[in-house]
Amino acid sequence: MVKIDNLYVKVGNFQLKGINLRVEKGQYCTILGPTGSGKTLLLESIAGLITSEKGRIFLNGKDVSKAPPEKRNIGYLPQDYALFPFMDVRKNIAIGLKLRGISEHVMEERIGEISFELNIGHLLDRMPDSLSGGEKQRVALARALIIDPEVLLLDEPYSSIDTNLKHSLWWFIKRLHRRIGKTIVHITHDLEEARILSDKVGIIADGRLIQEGSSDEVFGRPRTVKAARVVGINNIFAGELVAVEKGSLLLKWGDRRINLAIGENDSISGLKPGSRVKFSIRAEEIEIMGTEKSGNVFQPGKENSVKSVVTEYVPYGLGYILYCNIVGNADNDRCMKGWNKHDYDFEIRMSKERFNGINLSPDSTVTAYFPPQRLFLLNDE
Amino acid sequence: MNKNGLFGVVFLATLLVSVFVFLLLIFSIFKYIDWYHFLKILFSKEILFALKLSLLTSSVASISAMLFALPVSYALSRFSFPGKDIIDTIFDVPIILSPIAIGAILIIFLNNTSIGAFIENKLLRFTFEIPGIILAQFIVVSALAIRLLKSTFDSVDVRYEKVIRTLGATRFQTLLHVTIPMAKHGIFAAFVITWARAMGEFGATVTLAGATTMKTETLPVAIFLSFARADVQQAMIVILILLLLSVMVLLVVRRVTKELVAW
Repeated sequence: MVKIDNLYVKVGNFQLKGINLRVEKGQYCTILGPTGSGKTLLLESIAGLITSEKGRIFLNGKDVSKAPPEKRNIGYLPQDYALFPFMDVRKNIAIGLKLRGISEHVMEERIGEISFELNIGHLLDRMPDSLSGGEKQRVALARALIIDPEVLLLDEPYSSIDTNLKHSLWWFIKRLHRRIGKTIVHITHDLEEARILSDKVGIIADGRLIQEGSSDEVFGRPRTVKAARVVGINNIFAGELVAVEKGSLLLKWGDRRINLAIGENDSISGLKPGSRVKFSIRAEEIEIMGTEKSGNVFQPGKENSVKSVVTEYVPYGLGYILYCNIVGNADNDRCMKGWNKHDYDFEIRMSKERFNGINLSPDSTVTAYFPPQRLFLLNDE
Repeated sequence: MNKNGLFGVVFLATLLVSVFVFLLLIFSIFKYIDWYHFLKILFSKEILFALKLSLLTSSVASISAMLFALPVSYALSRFSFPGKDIIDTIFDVPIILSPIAIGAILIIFLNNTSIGAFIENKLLRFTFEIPGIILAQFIVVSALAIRLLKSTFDSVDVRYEKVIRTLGATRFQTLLHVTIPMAKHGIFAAFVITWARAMGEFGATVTLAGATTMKTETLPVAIFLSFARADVQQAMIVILILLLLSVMVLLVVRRVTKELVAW
């Protein structure tokens, strides 16, 4: 278990500010954040490689805040694994035991066990530069795991690895995690990686941990504008509260009204008619009711429906992304101008089947439907 | 001829002219060498003395400089502290300052200050003595050793040090098990270059230790003394010895740094 209480760390002009995080025993936690957000600093603070100014770090209940890295019993995998290039695989794996003064006999036994577990027995006499990316990961894991660490820290281990190989490595670490049950803290800026691997996700931006929760919760309902951006949501809108109704908010959005169903995570305290609010919706959750061409399902007057022009669409995986502008929005009054930093008003993601079904062409006019229960509020912080 | 062709010709021609000038200078000494008396002069008492003295002083000076430069350059490479840039610049001064000026500063320090006088009178005499040669060489080459070793330590990725710390190594064990093994080629190359520079040191040496035949006569001093008494033959043979040593050093360094790159 990793518990961080009110951690402050300063390096140069950058600071981690009041980090609180709890990762349960055996949990796989990913800290997601853009470059320069402080995620490596957080990981190195847990490892003891950087001294904190204030706050406490507990590993399995033991306060290690003042302990040097060699006393914390941490498994650490840096970017590109950093296997010692002047040692063969056997020596790389054994170094942690050697430093602990473990006898040759026991060392050989432990190397045998871990090599079997990670299927690297045939690599023991090889030098690191002759290993493939996947083999390097397994050797680096063996080196980290042989000391039976309290927690495994992964510092963007897949950032410079080919996409094809990444999936194979993700599968391996996921499967290994399930088998050995170690607590893992993994930092990355890769959304897909965080989504695939994590039980828990923390979002870090500008030195603050701005949200933590289950992967579904964080990716599905980010609480702040920054968190939404970090998890790749581009639909960030600004509006004005008209009225709080039972279970929903009526918002003025440009020259139209839109209903937002209040979710359990939406904080509405302090909001009153006239308050400026920011809200969002995932691109997958906007529906297209129909196109002007098809006629029969084109319903511009329906609640939460917005007449829009599909300015461009691009394939994405096996589906499509549609970039849309709301009809009637002046260029200087784009709903989200200044919020989502794009020249289009919102984006929709849909499957290929759905895309083919609505028969779009560039500049098609469509009715986009924003389901009230899929819209959620964003805090400024 | 197209523009690229002309571009290439201009640069390659400059390169060829430079090589020609260097080879011309090197081979010009062969014209003056009397091969008949070569071995006799080479094994003369004076030249053997100068060779032995140069080997001794440059070895002591360069080993001392390396022992001093290792912790200094490691600290400059790995630690952050106030005034680091200023200290870093101070260590560059002996590299760019004229060696004669360094020798003069040492003479003034040892003879005109109370600490210097105490050292000279109570501990060890440097002025016009062999320890003076070692001190002059040490001051000149230690700055070079610091510069070379700092670049070597800078080139060792700190990620390796971080990994071994988490595996249970103290700072000292990290230095021993990771930093030095990863820097060993660079450390060796730095030592060879430092030693060669000490072998060739003249300005500071002659100012502090003087140029006394068979007393403070290193190889560069021998060249100076030979020319002073118009013994061009002897000067040329000493130059040849220094030239051969330089070529050997460069070959060794090139080989070692190639291995370093292949790593």
